[in-house]
Amino acid sequence: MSTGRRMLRAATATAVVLLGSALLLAVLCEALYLVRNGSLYALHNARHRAAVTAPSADEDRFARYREAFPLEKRPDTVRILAVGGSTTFGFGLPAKAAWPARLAACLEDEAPGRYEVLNLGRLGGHLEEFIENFQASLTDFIPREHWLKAGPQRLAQATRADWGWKDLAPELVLLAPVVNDTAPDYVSFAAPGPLGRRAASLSEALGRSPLDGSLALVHYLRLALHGLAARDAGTTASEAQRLAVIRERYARNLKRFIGLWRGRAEVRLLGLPLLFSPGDGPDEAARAARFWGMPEGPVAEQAAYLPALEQLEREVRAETARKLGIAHLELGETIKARPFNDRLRLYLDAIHLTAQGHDALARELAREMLDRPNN
Amino acid sequence: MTTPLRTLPALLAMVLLLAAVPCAAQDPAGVAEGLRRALVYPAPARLHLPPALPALDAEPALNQAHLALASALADMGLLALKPTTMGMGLHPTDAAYGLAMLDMDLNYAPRALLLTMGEWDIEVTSVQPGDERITAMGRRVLVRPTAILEPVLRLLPASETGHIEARATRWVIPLTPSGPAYDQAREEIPGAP
Repeated sequence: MSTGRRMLRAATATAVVLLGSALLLAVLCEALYLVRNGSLYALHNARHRAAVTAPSADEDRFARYREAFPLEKRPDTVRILAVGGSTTFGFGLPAKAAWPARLAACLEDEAPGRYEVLNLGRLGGHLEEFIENFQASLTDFIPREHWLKAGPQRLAQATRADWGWKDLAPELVLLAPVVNDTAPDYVSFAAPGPLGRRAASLSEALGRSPLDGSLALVHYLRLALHGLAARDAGTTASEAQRLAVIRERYARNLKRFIGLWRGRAEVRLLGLPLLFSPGDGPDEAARAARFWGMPEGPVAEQAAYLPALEQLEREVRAETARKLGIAHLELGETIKARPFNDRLRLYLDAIHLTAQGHDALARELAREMLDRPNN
Repeated sequence: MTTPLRTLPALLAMVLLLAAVPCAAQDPAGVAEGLRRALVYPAPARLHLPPALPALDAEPALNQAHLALASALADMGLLALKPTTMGMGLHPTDAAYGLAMLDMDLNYAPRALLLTMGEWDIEVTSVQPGDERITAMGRRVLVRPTAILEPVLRLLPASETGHIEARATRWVIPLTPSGPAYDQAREEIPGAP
């Protein structure tokens, strides 16, 4: 037998063995998932298409979306997705008082039937979660700290829908990533090493593949990669290093999420105002805690670190918008300009605005959108 | 050159100002207004409940009272009670805006359920001027009671609700050359949490 034929046979045998092993592994993974969850992975995920509904009164609403919305868009309407964390969800408010609903009302007044605004704000929602949601929506709430530190556990906990935000086919995405991408990272800092970063990006790439959400093998592979990323983390760092890592991570994730929509929808980047400004100190924190009837300690901590993080976020948003050539608007400048005591009355806590505050933001945004429809 | 006639209006204004500052500082209504602006009154009058019941560190009787209150608020449509492994989680409904809110940490782990019973306001009844400070006496009172106040007073023990009664209050306000420094006022409410 010639050397060439021998090599061909060896290559074929290797390919068969590899393919067979992959198939066997895939079957074993499906079996493991079946045993642990009582359903095949793809079937388990497929059940969640029906989950695009608001939670019923007896459920907590951490996991889901603020209001029910249809996957299919109404004809002749401009579909707008409001993407953000609890500040978009409208924490502490009725759904109708959150800025996306108020924006919808303002736009409806000006152009009846023309616009549809879906509130995709999630309590604790952050960019890495939004990137996951693009392909297949997570139906569980995973705190940011767990997201950073407990990769395998969090993906094991997560149930995923067989639709993603891409399937909502919007014309416009209003992206308001506020606080959740920086504050939990600041409080429970963990800087990934090079191996962790590679594992995380490989997991993300797998998450964007069509096999994700269909094969338990991909699910478990991603668990392993997240485990690797989580283990290669947790260095101590100075304040400056810590802020530098948070800045880099925020910028990278913003760019990634915005990049997902390229060719699909316009993205506008929004900032929403927090209560404390750089000039505010312990006196203002004590006043705020007394006003809200909350313990002073946590409020004072937030007053100490939130202004720096807000400034960091604003700078990154401005820079990202400039680099990517997208519109950027920091809402609530008039709120920020008020004296502290007047500002305080517009907040439920250091981060979340009252209904009046949300209404002011929505009006400002509606004016901007109607004045400059193709910014 | 400045003539005495030209300086007369300025002198008069200064005399009036110097006379007005102590007068305003002695007027209870004026002092109350200054304190309201500086100390942000009226403010929400809140009661803290554990976000999940029973609370492990609470007396059984208090847990029972909290549970009775939570059930009453659920009947009013303000709370959703969700079973947890340890008992019951309390979740404000959409109808509870302005009445009940969860205080959360950054991981959205609830720290407390805040119930708004009305608004705190202040009444200043007397003012004692001094050289360096003004001492104002009065009360902190609950005004504009909400629907939550009635079940709170009915179902919780007095040890939990005692602070809701009007409390004698004292404010010490430093005096500066430009008048009372309300933003540096110290408020003392004996017996209030």
